[in-house]
Amino acid sequence: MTIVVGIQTNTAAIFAADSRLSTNAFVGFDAAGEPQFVKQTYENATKIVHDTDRLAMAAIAGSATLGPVGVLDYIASSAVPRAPAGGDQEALLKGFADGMAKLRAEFWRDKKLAEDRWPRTVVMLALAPTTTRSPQLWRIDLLKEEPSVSLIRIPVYLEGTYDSAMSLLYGYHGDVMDALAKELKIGEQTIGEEAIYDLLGSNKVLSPIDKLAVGVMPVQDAVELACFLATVQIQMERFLPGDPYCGGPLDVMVLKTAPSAEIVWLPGKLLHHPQAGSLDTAEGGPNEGP
Amino acid sequence: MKALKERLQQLQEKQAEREKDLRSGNIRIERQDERSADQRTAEKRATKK
Repeated sequence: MTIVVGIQTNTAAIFAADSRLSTNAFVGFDAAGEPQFVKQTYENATKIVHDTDRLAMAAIAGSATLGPVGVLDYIASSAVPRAPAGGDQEALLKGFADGMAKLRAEFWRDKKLAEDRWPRTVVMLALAPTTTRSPQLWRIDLLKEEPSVSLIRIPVYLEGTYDSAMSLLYGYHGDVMDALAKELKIGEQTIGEEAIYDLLGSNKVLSPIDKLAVGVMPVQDAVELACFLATVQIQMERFLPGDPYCGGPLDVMVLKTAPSAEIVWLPGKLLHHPQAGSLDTAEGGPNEGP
Repeated sequence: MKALKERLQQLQEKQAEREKDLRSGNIRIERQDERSADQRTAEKRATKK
């Protein structure tokens, strides 16, 4: 899995993502006809890209493949459509998402995998609208055949595995609240999850996320906030039992929308020769000459 | 019962409504001051005694 943090200020969007790639490679069917997958983990995946126009950027969580092409390659080689004044941005993005969904459906149908077993892909998309100087964040969910597209209306949004980062932002841990909802009773009647979560949404105590002034936050601070939240998730997973879902270096991309639209790429890693560091210092290395 | 993951996502989506309610005064909060966390903790301790 992944941790992706999306932040939107008044004039910039920031994505931070980890580099761990956990893959379930489809290898065939067992004697009972059950699809079989093998797990593998890599540490140098890049999960953020910008489009060909450099006016939109995307980060993904979940499955990275659409079959013949990766999700990020698809976006990196496309121009994400932007609605003119009065246009319907959601409809345009739905059309864009349909293109990805079609490839994905063809691929998994060809593999004869039932639709409810198709691996999920979530794309966070930030774009510079044609009509305003503020960025827009969208979420494309490829779960079933039909993709869903929704506008993200909060300034800090988490995707992938984010329970630890979210507990810090919202002031409670989801599974602890779930347990509380099941145990807490008035007389013999349990209070239930709906009531607990409604209360959490309307209570009068401000959680950290309520107090963040993200709109006016300088880009550098927003970058640091995104990295801080991603690091919290990575480090909590590192210290808690079980295989970590997130890890590796953090990559960051910024889409500035004012005074003009501009992508800034802040990679946490670069392609390099695996022995480059040791070659530099080794006797007779490339810097020493023959 | 909804899966926790789905619940957390729903909570994030609901945060937009909460922000609106907070800014519009639909949810009334305590007066915010600039006391430090240490001061607030000390006051709470004093109240408990």
